[in-house]
Amino acid sequence: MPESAYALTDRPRAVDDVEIAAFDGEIVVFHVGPSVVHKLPGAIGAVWLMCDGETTVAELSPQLTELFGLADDDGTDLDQTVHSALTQLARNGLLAGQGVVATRVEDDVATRASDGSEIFVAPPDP
Amino acid sequence: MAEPIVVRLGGRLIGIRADTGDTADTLRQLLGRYLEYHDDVSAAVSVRCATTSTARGRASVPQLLLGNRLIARSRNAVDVLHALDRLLAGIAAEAEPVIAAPRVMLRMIAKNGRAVLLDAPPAAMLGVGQLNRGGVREIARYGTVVDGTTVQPDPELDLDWAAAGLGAPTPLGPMTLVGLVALEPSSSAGSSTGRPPQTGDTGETPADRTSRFAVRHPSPEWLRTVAHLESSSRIAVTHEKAAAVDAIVGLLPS
Repeated sequence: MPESAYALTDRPRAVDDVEIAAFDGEIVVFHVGPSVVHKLPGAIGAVWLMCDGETTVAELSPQLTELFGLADDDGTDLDQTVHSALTQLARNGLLAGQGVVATRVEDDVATRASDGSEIFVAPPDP
Repeated sequence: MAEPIVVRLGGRLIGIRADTGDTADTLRQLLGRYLEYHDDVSAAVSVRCATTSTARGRASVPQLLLGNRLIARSRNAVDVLHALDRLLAGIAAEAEPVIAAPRVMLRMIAKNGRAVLLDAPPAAMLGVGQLNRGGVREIARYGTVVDGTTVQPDPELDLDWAAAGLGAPTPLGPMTLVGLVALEPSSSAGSSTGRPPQTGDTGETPADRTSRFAVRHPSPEWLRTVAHLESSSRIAVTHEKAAAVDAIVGLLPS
């Protein structure tokens, strides 16, 4: 098993403050806490969906094959795929207790008039 | 340059720049009950009601800007003032929302109680004539409140159209959101194919289209709305202006 932040016996769990939109082979996840949208393609999305806090890392590869039909392909080790997916998911804060949670930085554009009233400032172009 | 006219709406001060003294007088008549005097409020909104000729002989028509963003442009100055009414109503409602629903900063194109939201540069007017011939029109405003698939109107302001000697805009009611269209900047390799517009003609997947619109207002409610429209094949993304127009007309009922 390739080197990973997770041991084979670990049971990674996906964060649960999310809204999910699933499509054929891809999912779009809105993570409520940091208010960030993630697009998870293919195997990464499948791995994330299987991170239920009960399935061990060692069990993820066989379940990828059984549930999603994924298999070693053109020399790509499925274990490597799982390792890479877990690393990316953790880095993006989509696994509970792991990685750096991305946060949106809200520009403080509020300014005040001399009487303390908030002045409306035109938002930047999208 | 004259100081901006200042109004208080939704608890915030909004500076409005007028192009001429006549425009400023009209604005003061319209906005009378909201006017306040402040000399330290910069203009966030600019209103031009005069038609002027540029050095190259071109006409500069009335227009409304929010910052540097073109919100409305018309040969008829009253259209610009109606757009100002809706713009200010949206700014006020954003500060004091009536319902808890996302306000998405996309342009709105509507017909017969149905609306399409458009992600396109403000300067991309999409050949307005083509749309108007079909009874479709863009409704310039400050973003759009989307509650599920219902586009909610902002509470109306109490502008004094009678004092200004002008007709008030037609009130907007709730509309059904029937689709999303994005006009992407043209790639260097892009060219008009002449073929009918199709969802995903930029090669995007359903997840691509969903996420590109979802990020415009990160919220679980908006993601649900966008995913619903994508699953109903009601999202179009194109590099071609003509295709965007066709997509809008196709999404709105005849």
